[in-house]
Amino acid sequence: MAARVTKPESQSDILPGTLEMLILKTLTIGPMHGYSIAQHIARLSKDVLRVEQGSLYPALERVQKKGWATSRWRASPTGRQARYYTITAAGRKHLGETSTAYQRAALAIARVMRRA
Amino acid sequence: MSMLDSLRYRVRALFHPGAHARDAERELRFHLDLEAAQHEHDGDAPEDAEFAARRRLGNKTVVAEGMRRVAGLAWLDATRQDLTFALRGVRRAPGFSLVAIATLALGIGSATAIYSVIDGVLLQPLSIVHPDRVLELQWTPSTPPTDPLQLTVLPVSVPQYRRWQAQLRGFSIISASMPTHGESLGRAPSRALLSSLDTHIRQLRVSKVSANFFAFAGVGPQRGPGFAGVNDADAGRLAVLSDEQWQRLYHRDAHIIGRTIQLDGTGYEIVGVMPHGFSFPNETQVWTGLGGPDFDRLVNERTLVLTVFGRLRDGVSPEAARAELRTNFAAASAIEPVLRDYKILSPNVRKALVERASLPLMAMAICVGFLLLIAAANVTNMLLVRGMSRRHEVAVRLALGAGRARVIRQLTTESLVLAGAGAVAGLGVAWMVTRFVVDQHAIDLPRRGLIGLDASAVIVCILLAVVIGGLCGALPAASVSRDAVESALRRETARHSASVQRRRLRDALVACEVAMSVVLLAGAGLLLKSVRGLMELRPGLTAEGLLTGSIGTSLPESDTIANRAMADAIAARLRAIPGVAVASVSTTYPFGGAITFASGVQTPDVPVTDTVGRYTAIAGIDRDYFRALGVRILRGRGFTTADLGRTDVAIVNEAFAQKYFHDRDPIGQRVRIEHVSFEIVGEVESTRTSGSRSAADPATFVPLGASRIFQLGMVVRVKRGDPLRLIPSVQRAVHDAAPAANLFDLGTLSTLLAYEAAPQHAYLFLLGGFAIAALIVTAVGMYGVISYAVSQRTREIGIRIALGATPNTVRRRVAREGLGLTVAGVAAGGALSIVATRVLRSMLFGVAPGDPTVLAVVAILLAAVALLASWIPARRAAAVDPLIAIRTE
Repeated sequence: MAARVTKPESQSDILPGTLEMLILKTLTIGPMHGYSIAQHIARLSKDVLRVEQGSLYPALERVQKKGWATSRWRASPTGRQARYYTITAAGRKHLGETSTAYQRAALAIARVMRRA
Repeated sequence: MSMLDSLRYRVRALFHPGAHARDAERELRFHLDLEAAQHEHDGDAPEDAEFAARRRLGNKTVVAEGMRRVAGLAWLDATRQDLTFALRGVRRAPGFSLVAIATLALGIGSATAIYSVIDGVLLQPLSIVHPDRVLELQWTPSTPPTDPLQLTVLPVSVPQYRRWQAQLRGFSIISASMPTHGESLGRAPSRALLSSLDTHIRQLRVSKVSANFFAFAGVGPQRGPGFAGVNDADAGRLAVLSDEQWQRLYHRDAHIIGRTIQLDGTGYEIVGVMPHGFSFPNETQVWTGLGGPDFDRLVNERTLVLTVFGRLRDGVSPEAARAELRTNFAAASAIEPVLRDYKILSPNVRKALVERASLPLMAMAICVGFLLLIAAANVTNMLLVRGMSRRHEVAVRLALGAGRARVIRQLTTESLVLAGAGAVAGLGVAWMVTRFVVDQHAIDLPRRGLIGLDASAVIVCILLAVVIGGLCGALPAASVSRDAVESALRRETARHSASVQRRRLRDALVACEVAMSVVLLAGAGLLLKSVRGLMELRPGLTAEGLLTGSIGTSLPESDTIANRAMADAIAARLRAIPGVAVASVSTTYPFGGAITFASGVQTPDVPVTDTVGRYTAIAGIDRDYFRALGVRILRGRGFTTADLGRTDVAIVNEAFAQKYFHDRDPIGQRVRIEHVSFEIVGEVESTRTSGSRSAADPATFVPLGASRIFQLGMVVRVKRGDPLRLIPSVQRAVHDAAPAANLFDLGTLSTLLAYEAAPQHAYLFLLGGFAIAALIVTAVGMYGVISYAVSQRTREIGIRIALGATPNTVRRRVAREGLGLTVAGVAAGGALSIVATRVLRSMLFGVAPGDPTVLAVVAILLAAVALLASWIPARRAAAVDPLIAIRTE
C-alpha cells in the first residue's frame, strides 16, 4: 500500500529536512525518548531552536519509516514506560551525508554573507 | 538494514493500526506528563503546569493525526470510514441494495463463467505432450460444397492412413483414432454400451486407437503396460481406462490390470489406466485397440473412418511436413483416381480444436458481454437515482469542507461494496452456469473436463467487480457532487438545469439497456425459430421405436455371397424375436452406420469427363430397410425379392434426384456410378436429422448383393415399448446367427436424432437464459427510472390533478415516457442486432439474422415489458393526493 501524502506535514521554524538531521544527530549520543530529544535540541541551541511537538512526533515517525531509527518501549529512569528511539546504521550513514551537505551549504552562505 | 527496519515499521503500521494509535497516544501522554513535571519543577502550580504543557504541545489529536499521516494510516482511516459509511448505506436501503447486488451478480457471474469456459477450452494445455508439434491430418472435398454449412472436414480412409504411415518421412509417429460416426463431423465419439456386472447399462465414450497412440501422445499409463509392445493386429481386444472410469466403474481396484471389461457384449482385457486428466481425443473414457479383423477389412478408399494425428520428427518444421504431405498426396492421386475428389488439410491439433470451439465461445462471450453492460448500465442508473435523493447530504458535506474528490471517493466506495457483494454472489452464478455448460455435451466443446472455477476465474471475478463497481459509482458520484456544488451556490435554477442534464444521462442509459436487450432477445428468437424450423422438418423416417447397431462381420469383403447369407440369417433371427415388428440388416443405417461415398455419378446428360465432385453416399440394403425405418417412397417402388438378386437396380433419394436430375422423374433412368450402370426403380424421401442444418446428401441404395460388404447395419423396429428392452435378445440373436460377428454401437435411433438436434437446444437454453436475465434487468432499470421520475414530479402531478387532470391522463402521460425510451432503444437495438447476430449464422436454420418476424416479436415483447415497468409508477402517480403532493418540498 502506498500512501502518498502530498500536504506539508507541518509548519516548522526549522528548515524542512533539518529537523530529521537534528534528531539523528541527537540520537548518536544514545537511545532517547521524544521529550528528551526535544529538550536536548533546545538546550544545545540555547533555546534558539524550539522544536514544536507537532513537528517532532511526525518527524520521529518519518525517520522510522525511512529506516533511520527504530523505537522500543522500555522503562525510563522514573520507572514509567517510554518510547526510546535508537539510530540505525542507515541513519548514521544518512546523517553523515546530510551533515556534510549542510556544512558545505552553511559555509557557502557564510561566505556570501561576509562578502556582500 | 534500513530497508528491513523500514519494512518492519510499515508492516506494523499497516497491520496493527490500533497498536500504532495506542503507542502515539501513550507517547504523547508521556511527553505531556514530563513537560508538566518540568513546569511544576520551574515553580508552576500543578494545574497551570498541565495547562502550559498542553499549550506547548498544541492540539493532541492534530499531532496524533500528523503521526498517522506519516505512518501512511490516514488513507486506511478514510477507507475504513468510507466502508462503514457504505455498509450503513447498503443496510439502510435493503431493497435497492438487493436489486443492485443481484443485477451485478448476474452480469459478473455469467462473465466469470464464460471466462472459465474459454480458459478451460482454449488456454489450458492439451493433455498430450508438445501439442505444437502435432498436426491433425484431414481430408476435405476438393470442390467446395455449394452449401457452405455442409461438413467440410472429413475423416480419413484406412488405406490413406496406411500410405501415410509407410511413406511420410517428416513425422516420427502417425497415429489414428476411430470414432464410429466421426467426431470430426462434430458428433460424439463412438458410444458403447457397457454391460458390466451390475444390471444397468452405461454409455461410455470409446475411442478405438492405433497401438502407437500412447507413444504418440507422449503419455504412458499410470498402471499396466498399455499397448506397449503390442502391434495393431493384437490390440483389437485390449482396453485402457481413463482414471475417471477406473474410479467410477472399479473404485480404484488395485488388481484392475488383466480384468475384463464388457463393451457391446464383447470382452476386452484391461491393460492399462491412464493418468488423471488424460482424455485425448475428445473426452475419451476408454481406449480400445483399433486393430483386429474388423479393422483390416476397412480397405475401401471411400470409407472415411479415421482421425489421424502426426507428430513432427525433430527438426522438421510444420511447413516442411505440409509440403511433403502435398507432394505425397499428389503422387497417390495419380495412382488412385478416387483421391482427386479430396484435398488435404493439416492444421495444428490445437488450432483444429480451437477452431471448432471458437464460434460457440464467441457467441457466448458476446452474450455475456451484453448482459454485463446491461447490468452495469442498470446499476449506474440506480445509483444516479439514489444520488439524487442524497444531494442534500452531499451538499452539506461539501459545505462543511469535504473535498469534492473525497466525496466522489466515498460514493464510489459504496458502489464498490455493492459490486463486491455482487461478485461473491456472482461466483455462485458462475458455478451454476459453468456446471450447465459442462454438463451439456451437446455444446460442442473440446476438453470440457478442464472447465471449472479456478483461482484465475476468481481473480477475473474480482477484477470485474472492481472495474464495474468503479465505473458504475464514479459517474453518478461525479454527477451528484457537481450538482450539489451548484445547488449549494445557486439553489433552484442551477438544480433544475443540472437535473435536466442528469435525466438525459439516465434516459440514455435506459435506452442503451433496451437496445442491448433487443440484441440478446433477437439472438434467442433467431435460435428459437431455427429450432422450430428443425423440429418441423421431417426427418424422413419415424425414429420412435427403432433400435440400431453395427455388426462387424468376420468374412472377407470379396465374399459377397457369404456376407449376404450372413446378413439374411441375422435378419431372420431378429425377426423371430417376440416384440420385433420389422428387422433389416443392410450395410448401414442412418446417422450412425459407416458412411461410404462413391463419386463419378454419370447421368445420361452429363459427359463422361465431367464427373468430378459428383458424389453420392451408397449403401446396400435389404427388402425391409425402408419399411423398418419408416422412410416414404416418393416415386417408383422399393426393392422386391426379385430385385435383391440383381446388381443393376438402384433406388435414389430426393436429394439425389434434385441434384442430378433437377427434380425430373428419375424412374427408369439409368445412372452410372463408378462405372457400374444402374436402373433407377424408386425415389425415397431424404433422411436427415432434425438438427442437421445442411441439406441431405445425395444417396443411392443398391441391393445388398450388389454392394461390397465390410460392415453391417442393423435396424429393428419394435412393436411397442422401449427398444432398449430388447438388447439382450438382439445380442443373443446376432450371436446365434453369426457367432463370429461383432455387434457394437447398439442404441435407439431417437437418441442419435436427439444428439443431432441437441446443440441448438443447448444454445437456445443458454442464450434464452441470458436474454431473460437481460429482460428482467432492463425491466427493473426502466421501473426504477420511471418511478423516480414520478416521485420527482409528485408536486407537478398533484397540481395537474388539482387542476382537473383525470387519473387516466396522468397514467398515460407517465407511461408514454417509458414507451418513448423503449422506442428509441428498440430502434437502436434492432439495427445493432442485425450485425451482432451474424455470429449465430452457422447455428441458424431457415431464418437469417435480421429476420423481421423475430425483430417484431422482440420489439412487442420489450414494449410490453416497458409498459408493465411504467404501469406501476403510473398508477402510483394517478393515486397522488394533490394536497399532500403540493405540501411536499
